[in-house]
Amino acid sequence: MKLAWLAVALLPLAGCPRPSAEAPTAVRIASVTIDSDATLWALGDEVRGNVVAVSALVDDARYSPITDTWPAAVPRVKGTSESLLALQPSVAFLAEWSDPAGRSLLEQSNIEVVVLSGYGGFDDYRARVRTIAKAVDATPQGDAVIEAFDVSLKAARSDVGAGLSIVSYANGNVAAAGTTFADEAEAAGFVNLPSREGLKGHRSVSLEQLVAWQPAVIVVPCETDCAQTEAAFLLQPGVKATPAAKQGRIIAIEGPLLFDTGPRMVEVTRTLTQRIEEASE
Amino acid sequence: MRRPSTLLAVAVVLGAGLWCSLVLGPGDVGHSDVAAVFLGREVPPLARALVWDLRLPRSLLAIVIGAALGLAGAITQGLFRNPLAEPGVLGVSSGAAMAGALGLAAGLDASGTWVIAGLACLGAVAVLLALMLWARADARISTLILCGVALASVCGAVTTLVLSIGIERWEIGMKVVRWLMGSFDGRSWVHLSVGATALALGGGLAAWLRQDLDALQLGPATASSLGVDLRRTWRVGITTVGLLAGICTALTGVIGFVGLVVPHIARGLVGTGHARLLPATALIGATLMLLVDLLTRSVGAVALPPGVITILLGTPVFLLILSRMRAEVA
Repeated sequence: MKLAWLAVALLPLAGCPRPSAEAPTAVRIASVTIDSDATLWALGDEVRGNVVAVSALVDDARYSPITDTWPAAVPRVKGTSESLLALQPSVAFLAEWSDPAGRSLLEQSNIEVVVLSGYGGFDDYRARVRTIAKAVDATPQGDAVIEAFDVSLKAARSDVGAGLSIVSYANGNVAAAGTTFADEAEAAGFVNLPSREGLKGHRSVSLEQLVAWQPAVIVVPCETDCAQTEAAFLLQPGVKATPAAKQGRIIAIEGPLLFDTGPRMVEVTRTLTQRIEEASE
Repeated sequence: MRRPSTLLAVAVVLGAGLWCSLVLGPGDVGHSDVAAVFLGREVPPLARALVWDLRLPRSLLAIVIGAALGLAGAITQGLFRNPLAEPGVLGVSSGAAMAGALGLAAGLDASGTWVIAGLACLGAVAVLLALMLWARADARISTLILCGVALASVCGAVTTLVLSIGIERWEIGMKVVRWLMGSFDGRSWVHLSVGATALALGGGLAAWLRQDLDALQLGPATASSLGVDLRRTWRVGITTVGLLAGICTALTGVIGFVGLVVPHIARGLVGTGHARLLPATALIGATLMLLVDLLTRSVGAVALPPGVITILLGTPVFLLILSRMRAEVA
């Protein structure tokens, strides 16, 4: 009896508009990470034409390498499962830290969810490009993107830092082995001290430990006024006793660039090389 | 004093701990180097920087913060006549944390080191003012504690909101989280001078309040009949707690449970009279915090946040106090 009443109550809802039972046939790509936004753009016109959404941060210059590139007609989404479902994508690129329940919901709706993971350096970037390209049937274009990255990396490689010890210190954390900074520094010939000390990933290290390591170069993130950040860091207790401070090798790099995990990693290597050359002159 | 020898032992541990904190740590610094720094003799620049610029102000600040948080806890428990009261329970630390987090999210830390510290103090005072206003309407202890818990929840929610916004700008989220975890790392002589000044002021006010706090333990009516000006005691007491807890949070982030646990340990050693309880609390708090800091610095190259250690140590004690209270009621 109760079920009958329930059926009667739900009857009016039968007339409500609802998503089509048939899945759209064309490839519809939704990108919810800046990383996939940039890679999908780099894959060329054919892929770009299938993109139905990019991430909300794609035009934020602090994080995105491709601001004002995607046409305004392509919706910017924040990555909630509701906003994605409404776009009816056939494939969605999400970051590994996205909500698992939301991912599961998308998968249940027959959307191919590609979870992008691994943000530890050059190899991880190449792997992610391959994953994205494969998911949108653009493997040759993906190979071309990687080749272009490798060419620019080769041009940025230098031995200017040959043997100089370096540390990246951000909010009490150092970038050790398996981080983008380790690759960027090593590409410029530096010895990344936390990696040499056997640390892995981003690790919390005291200022005392940093000073005791006696790095020849210290890299810190800055927001707007990088020169002010360098001057302020010099005033931290004990920092003046480091070779980096004595030789004017405290280098502030804009945070979003320093922490970038995409093609802009090459720019960090280039910046490090340039700054050391300037300090040597 | 019931156990003067125990307190003497605590003082010896404090002294030994301070020496160890100067000698132990990264870098090649020996006992002779530390002695040479104090005696003004020639030492390698690195050893001088490690001992004089980094370890000494940091360790002394840990002592000051431990003493201040212990005192704030003892005064709060005395005012509220409740063993579970502490600045954290009343929302004072949460208020300071919320204001500091808002300042960090707004990027005000770039305007100067003391902006965030000042905001944290304002946050602590704002929560205390709200409590005082509430106390006018309803001064029952249970109501005030509930009001404190509610204020702490509101402040916690705002802090979480800041963090959730910070997910998009993750460098802000990282900065806020690190500040909330609490740390003595990178603290200088300037931080120490501010902390020591606040402790001296707060300690002086606490000493002035000691007899009133003793009388309050007999109940407000009895205290009033003994000549205690309840309103004045409340105002001075709450202002002292705000000053101590606010400055502590401003200087080192949120370090919980010291204000809850330490007065209980001190009470077990010197009894409930505030003339002895307050200095004993300061001494034990200082020693505990110095040892916690030493522990966080001694686990390899990776730094542990002291706020996490104090919570891990304090929570079992908190539960023990609760179970004892339950047993007493039964």
